[in-house]
Amino acid sequence: MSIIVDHLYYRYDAGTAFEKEALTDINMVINDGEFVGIIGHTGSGKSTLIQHLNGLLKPAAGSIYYNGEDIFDKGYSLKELRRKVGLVFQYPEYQLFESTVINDVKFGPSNLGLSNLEVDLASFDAIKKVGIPDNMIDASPFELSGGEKRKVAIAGILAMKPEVIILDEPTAGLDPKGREDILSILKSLHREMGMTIILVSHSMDEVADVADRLVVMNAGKIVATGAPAEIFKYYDELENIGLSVPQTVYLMNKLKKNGIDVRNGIFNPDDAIREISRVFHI
Amino acid sequence: MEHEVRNVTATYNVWWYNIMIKALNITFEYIRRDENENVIEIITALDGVDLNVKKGQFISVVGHNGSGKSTLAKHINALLVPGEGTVHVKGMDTKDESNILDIRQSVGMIFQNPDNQIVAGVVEEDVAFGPENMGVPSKELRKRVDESLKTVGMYEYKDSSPDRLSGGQKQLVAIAGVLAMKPECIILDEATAMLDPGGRKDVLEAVKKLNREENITVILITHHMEETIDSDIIFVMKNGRIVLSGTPAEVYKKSDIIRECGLEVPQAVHIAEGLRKRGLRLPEDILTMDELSEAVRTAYNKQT
Repeated sequence: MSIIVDHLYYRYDAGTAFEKEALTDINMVINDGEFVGIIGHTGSGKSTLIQHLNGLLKPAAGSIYYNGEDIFDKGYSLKELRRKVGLVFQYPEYQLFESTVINDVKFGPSNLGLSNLEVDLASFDAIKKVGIPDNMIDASPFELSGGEKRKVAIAGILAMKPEVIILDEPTAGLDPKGREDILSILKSLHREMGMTIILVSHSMDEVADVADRLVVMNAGKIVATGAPAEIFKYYDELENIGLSVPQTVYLMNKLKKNGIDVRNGIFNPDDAIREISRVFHI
Repeated sequence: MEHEVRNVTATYNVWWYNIMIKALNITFEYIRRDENENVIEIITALDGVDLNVKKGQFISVVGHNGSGKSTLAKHINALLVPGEGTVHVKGMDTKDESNILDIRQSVGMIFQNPDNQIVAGVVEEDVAFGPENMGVPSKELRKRVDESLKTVGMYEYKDSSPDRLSGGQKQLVAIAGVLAMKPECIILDEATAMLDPGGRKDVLEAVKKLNREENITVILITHHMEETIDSDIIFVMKNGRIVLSGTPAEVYKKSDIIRECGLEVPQAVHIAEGLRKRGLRLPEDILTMDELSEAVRTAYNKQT
């Protein structure tokens, strides 16, 4: 069970004067059960790439294999793929449209040809997973706060029981508490359910905290991939492509330059406190 | 100075010459009604808020989603008027409809979503939209559009189509559009929330420059704490009230209250606090990673 992207190219406005290569020779493997963070600044091709992963965009060249099958083959069911690979767009709360929270969540599974009971079970289960309290399920989605709406939108995807969930900037515009809530939902889906998660973000602090592996994009290309601690060693290179390392990494590098012997690979503020304390023997 | 005071009191009832905004005890409720107009819910968005902003200040308002930040912002340029209490902008009461045009020319607002505030198909036309509707003559209009675009660093894009710009660039165009109306105060209502780090930095630098060089009052509404550390005053909101205010150093010292409000202190403050708790002696006013690394280095050199 894996996603393999093989020499993928994509062009916007192909054949017109505005033709622009948005993705160039993308190669990557996403393994079953991995939590991958895709980072890059606006326009680096992150969103374009993930729209290929469930077949919403067709590449100019190259292939994508899901569990060994080429998803752009004739006869491959993209409908089935989109159930297995759930995509949560940016600002998904704008896509809520039903009269109640529960109906909105049910919309996806009820279009899969399941029985009513199966739809209900899947939907209630999804609502529980994102932590929407029971007394809210009959409310109009428009009465909820921004963070809650977003949870409902994620529940709508979860209710289809996907194997992979891809989220495009799921915490954009949320306050710190809302951000923390969404990230902890993702962490528990990953740890407890073993779901494969692909998180697109431009916040290094955020992906450093949750992802096992990072894929760094710039100008339509993958420029690096590896564990967060490894990626953050390329501090200057990241700055050059408009990404900032987590602030803690910045601090630790600065201390090191000043001759204070702190260890490499620390990007979390609480680890930094422990590490600096170690150096000071306190 | 005396002349200035006399001048304004002639125009308005009360305008202390250097006060941009004075809000006293404002309360605002959103009332939900069913189809029969029966009240089914009252949500108190603002609950007795006082706000005093001097001309030329850089103010930050932080708070969790739904804490009342945006409702407060909408009161400052008379998009909303308070249920109780009063808001005066340069001495003009926002409840008096005859003041509304003057207030909105004095206080420009930038909203969260860059795509919702672009109205024209060409960047310079978009910037011209506001002043043109104010009746600015065309020669002056040309001058203002060019100057505003240059101020935010978007002049080279004046003939571009806005939909080819990044989110950050669109926000800069929106700021230029407000600038072309020659406001005295700009409110950014989570205007950086949808931007990537590069775009956020560009927008923030642009407004800091306006504040510094043109003495434009800035009210920055955000939940990115790092953006607030250069402010003159930070107001922290929770459930429709201002629960904390002061200089960044004063406010971030009270990290417990900040966390209770569903917010986080800047990471440098968090780390400094953790180290102090473990017994490392660091200055109390550390806000940035640069200040923190300097302080740690000093402490390290003392020790060895």
